[in-house]
This record gives sequence, C-alpha cells and structure tokens, in this order.
Amino acid sequence: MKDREESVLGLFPDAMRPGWKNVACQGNTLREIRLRAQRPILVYLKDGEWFLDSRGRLTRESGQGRVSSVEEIHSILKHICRGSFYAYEEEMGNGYVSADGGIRVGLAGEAVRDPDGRVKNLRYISGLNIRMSHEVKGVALGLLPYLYRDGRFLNALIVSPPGCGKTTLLRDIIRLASDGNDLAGGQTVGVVDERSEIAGCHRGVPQNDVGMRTDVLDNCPKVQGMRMLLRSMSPQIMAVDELGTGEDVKALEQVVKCGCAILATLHAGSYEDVCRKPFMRPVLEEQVFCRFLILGRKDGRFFVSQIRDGRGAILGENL
Amino acid sequence: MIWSVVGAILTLAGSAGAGVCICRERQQRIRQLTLFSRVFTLIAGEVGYGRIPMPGIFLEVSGKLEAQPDALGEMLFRVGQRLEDGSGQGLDRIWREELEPFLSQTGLREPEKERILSFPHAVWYPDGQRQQEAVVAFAKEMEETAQTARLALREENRMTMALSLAAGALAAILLV
Repeated sequence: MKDREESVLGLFPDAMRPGWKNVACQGNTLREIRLRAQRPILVYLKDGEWFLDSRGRLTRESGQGRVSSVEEIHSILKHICRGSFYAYEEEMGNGYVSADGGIRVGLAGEAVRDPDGRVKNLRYISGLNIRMSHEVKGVALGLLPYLYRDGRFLNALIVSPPGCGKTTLLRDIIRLASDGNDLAGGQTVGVVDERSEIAGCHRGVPQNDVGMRTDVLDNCPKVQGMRMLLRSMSPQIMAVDELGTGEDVKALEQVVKCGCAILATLHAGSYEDVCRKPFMRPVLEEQVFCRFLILGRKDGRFFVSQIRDGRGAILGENL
Repeated sequence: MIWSVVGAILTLAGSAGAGVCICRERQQRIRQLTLFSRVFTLIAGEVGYGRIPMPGIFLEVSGKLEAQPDALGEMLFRVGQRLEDGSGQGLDRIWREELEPFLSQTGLREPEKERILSFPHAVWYPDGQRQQEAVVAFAKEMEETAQTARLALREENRMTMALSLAAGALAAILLV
C-alpha cells in the first residue's frame, strides 16, 4: 500500500507535482484539498485552513493564495480517472471519484440528468474536494465493553452530525470486531460501502484497515448490498454507513431476522433527533438497536457524548 | 556476349525483385491495418463490457495479441505499464513515445500513422457507450482502409511488376 505522500502526489499529473510536493509532505495531518475554478486553493490540515501560494508553499494569507483554473481542475480529474472518464461514469454520477490510498475526490459541476430526472453524470466540473480518509486505529477500544454482551456483538447505531468522525469510528469498530479483541474473537464482517468511504476501496481492494475477516461490497447501494452479502458471504456482523431511507431500515430489519448483528451510522445531532426521524420509528419501537453511540464535538475534538441502550437509557457520557 | 546476356538477366531479375519487394510491402501494410483494426475492436469490447480504465485495457489487450508476430502486443503492454507506474505521464505522451518508433518500422502511410497517433484524443467521453462507439469508429476506419487497399492490391501489384520488368528490360537493352 502506498504511503500518504505518494498517494497525494499520485493525484496530480507529473508536470504539476513540484507545486504540490509541500502539500503531500504534510502526510497524515492533511485532511482536505479544495480546488474551485477562479478561487484560491484551500488546504485543510489538522490545525486548520491554509492557502497554497504560487510557489507551492502553505500560507495563512488569503491574498497570497494561488487561484486554480478550470483547465487545472480538468487536468487533475483526467489524471485521477487515468484518462478514462467513461470508467468512472457511475461514481461521477454520485458526485465523487475514488482514488488510490483511500482518497475520495468530491466533484462540483453541472448535473447531467436522464429522462427520468436521475443524475447520471456531471459536466463543466469546476470544483474538486480531495478528501483523505482518516484512520484512527484504536479510537473505539474504550467503547468495546458497551458493544459486547457475553461475547456477542450488540446491534449498534452511531449517531453524529456531519464531520464528527462517525465513519472513522465505524471503521475502527469494524476492524476490532473483525480482527478480534479482548471481549470476543474475530467475527466475519460484511461491509456495504456505498460511497467507498469506509474501506476506501481502489479497484476492489480496501485501502483502509477494516480487519482480516471483513468482506467489502464497494460502490453498491445499501439495500441491494446487504441482501447480496447475506446470501453470499454469511456475515456475522453487517456494517453500513449513513442510513437515510425507510428502504434502508427495512433491509436492516431483514438482516437482523437472519441472525446477523448490525452496525450502522446515521446523520443526526442527538438521540432525540433520531426519534424524530419517521423512517427510524419501526426499528426504535422494536428496539432493534441495543446501543446508540452519540458523537459530539468540543473545542475541535470529537468525542462520544452519550451511549444509550435500546430503550434510550443513558449508559455512559463524555467518553 | 555471354556476359552481356548474364548481365541482362541479372538486371531483369533485380528489377523484378524490387517489384516483388514493393508488392510485399503493400501486403504488409494491409496486414498491419487489419491488426490495428483488431486492436481497436478489442479495446472497444473492453470499454463496452468491462468499463475498466485504459491502462488496464492495454494490459488486457496486449495479452490477447501475444500470438501475433508483431511487437504490437509488447508495445501495448509497455503503454499500460507506464500509465500504471504512477509517474504521472498522460496517455497522449506515452502513446506517442511508444507508438512512433513502432510505426516508423511499418509500411503504413503518413495519414494512417497520424490517425493511429491521434487515438488518445478520442478517449475523453464521459459515458461508456459513446466511448465504445468512438473506439469502434477507429477500428472501422482501419478496416475500411485495409479493405480499399486489398481491392486495389491486385491491380497495383500487376502494374508494379509490369513497370519494374519494363524498367529492367530497358536497362538491360541499354547495357547490352
């Protein structure tokens, strides 16, 4: 597997690389690179927002930031797609392209829609959000006692607003459940990675460590993916990111009926927000989830603000 | 006298040999056009079926050309490898760098060489179907050129042989 520096530099055509070397050198502190046509290039590191100047140096001065052009954005995207846009048609229709090293490139442009109104691709691409997957190994270790009972994994839902580290936490729980931990041996985990965020697959191979007993179905719709994995890979735990529809929840219920444990995430600010979502009502009434991990952010740090059981009772706070 | 006859025969044989060489070159051109047509057909098939990016397609297609006596399979393999090696060079540059020396050794005509070198400019379509159609158009064009050359081949060969023999005969007469 490539290191972060090599993966970041690999995103750019050879002629542009000298200008990005300094950014690539930031290694694991690098979070995002944002290019917008006719706007300054922004680089997000662990310590906040920086501008990239014309000599490839990072600066806090917005006036010194180099402005990116449409041509530059197109050249980078063409290079990331290895000159083969057609091969990324489906991903581009979903607004992103997966790159090597667990990097995901979000796209902004004009939507191309089919006669049914479904977005099938993007054109006039004018913005790139190069996002590094953020692996924090061991972040879930302290939560394991809440997630297991008598060596059995409990159905868990990670609840968090955007950008609070729910996918990072999900990934680490998957890894610990798959490799085994102090509370239980390794279990087979099936991951439906609809947007290639969990495992960060590149050509089918996970770029993030999701454990040795994990099977990943990459770039596959959740509902279909869960059914496929159930039939073909017999997972003991099924993991999915970002529940968002009643269909997702129905598919989850089916998974539970098959005796498989579930681990999922949901966009919400609090437990009360979860209860207010109509599509969540059936699983809440049936107490499908035994644990709710509510994430929060304080002083730029992410933490588990609450752990609740299936009835909503608080089991732990500020972990 | 005997030496004059020998000289005349050798001159005639030499000019006939030159004619045969020209004819063989023409046949080789047709064979190469057909081979490129096959390569583009294979590429179009991979685009349509596998939707894999071009570097993977070149590696795949190179494997299918192994039985061919030409170095085309090897050349495509190198193109695929260079695109995959992370050096950041684009398809346009690698294609030209690898293809130019190969094409210079073929009997293809300049417009045909230029058309083949322009292939990377046809790889930009955002959807698989149109991309496949664009590559199929390349294959068809190569096949049509080969077909036209095939139809003209007999007549051209006959004329070449006649002219080379006539030129040999004239030279022999002048020499004798």
